[in-house]
Amino acid sequence: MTTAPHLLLVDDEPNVLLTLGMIFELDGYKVSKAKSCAEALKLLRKRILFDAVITDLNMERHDVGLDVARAAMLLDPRPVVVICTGYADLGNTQAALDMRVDYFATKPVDLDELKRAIRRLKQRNVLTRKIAG
Amino acid sequence: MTSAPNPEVKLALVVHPDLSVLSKFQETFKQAGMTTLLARDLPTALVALSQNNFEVAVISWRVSESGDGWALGATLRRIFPSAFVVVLANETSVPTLKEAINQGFDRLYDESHRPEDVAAQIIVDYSKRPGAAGVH
Repeated sequence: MTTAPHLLLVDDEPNVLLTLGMIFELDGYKVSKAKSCAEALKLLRKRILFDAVITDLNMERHDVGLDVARAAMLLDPRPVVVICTGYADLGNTQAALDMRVDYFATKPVDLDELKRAIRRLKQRNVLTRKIAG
Repeated sequence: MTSAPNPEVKLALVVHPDLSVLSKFQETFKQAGMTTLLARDLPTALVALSQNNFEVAVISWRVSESGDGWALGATLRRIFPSAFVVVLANETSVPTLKEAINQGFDRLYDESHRPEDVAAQIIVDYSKRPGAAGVH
């Protein structure tokens, strides 16, 4: 029996959480949701294993989603970290590159591309962990 | 008989259509103790990466045809997951930064700057990475 991959969705828009959640659940994911950075950080501190984290940028404040991404990237094993925003600017995109975020999507999101990217990056993480022993 | 490769020497790949840019990168990297392989086009770059193990790769976005450099970077990232792979882009903008993230590049540099300055900056940024000792 294989375990469903676990995804954390972080967005302050209930409709985005609902829609993306349904889409990924249909794709076989177990989905956890957080509607703020604070809520997401609380979940990440519980050391729950996530295969991927998709976070919005602007929630309690501008670009606070970068804090979620940073915290997710410290987890071991490290999940795939995706930023999904409607407000990309030079500052937050450069910060995401400097942090080595795995994927940067702008709203409206190309869902097929996002799903493909997460699948590919999950496989890469598994391979990298195998190589590292 | 060939001598065993020196593990202390970092191997870099630079892919750019302009010869003068390539030679400036090679010179700057040499001063930092790195061995550099140069490629002006995609086929040469692909042969180089099939025969070597690179720690650093610098790729112009416009190698061969405009945009091909992005795909080459993604390939390099998959082959050498721990390498420092950077792109020289026509501009620093949201679309180019987003492309750099999504293709797995570590950094993006604006190719409007002098090649020797960009090369020196790459060495500095590479040296700041954990486990990248050996580049002066």
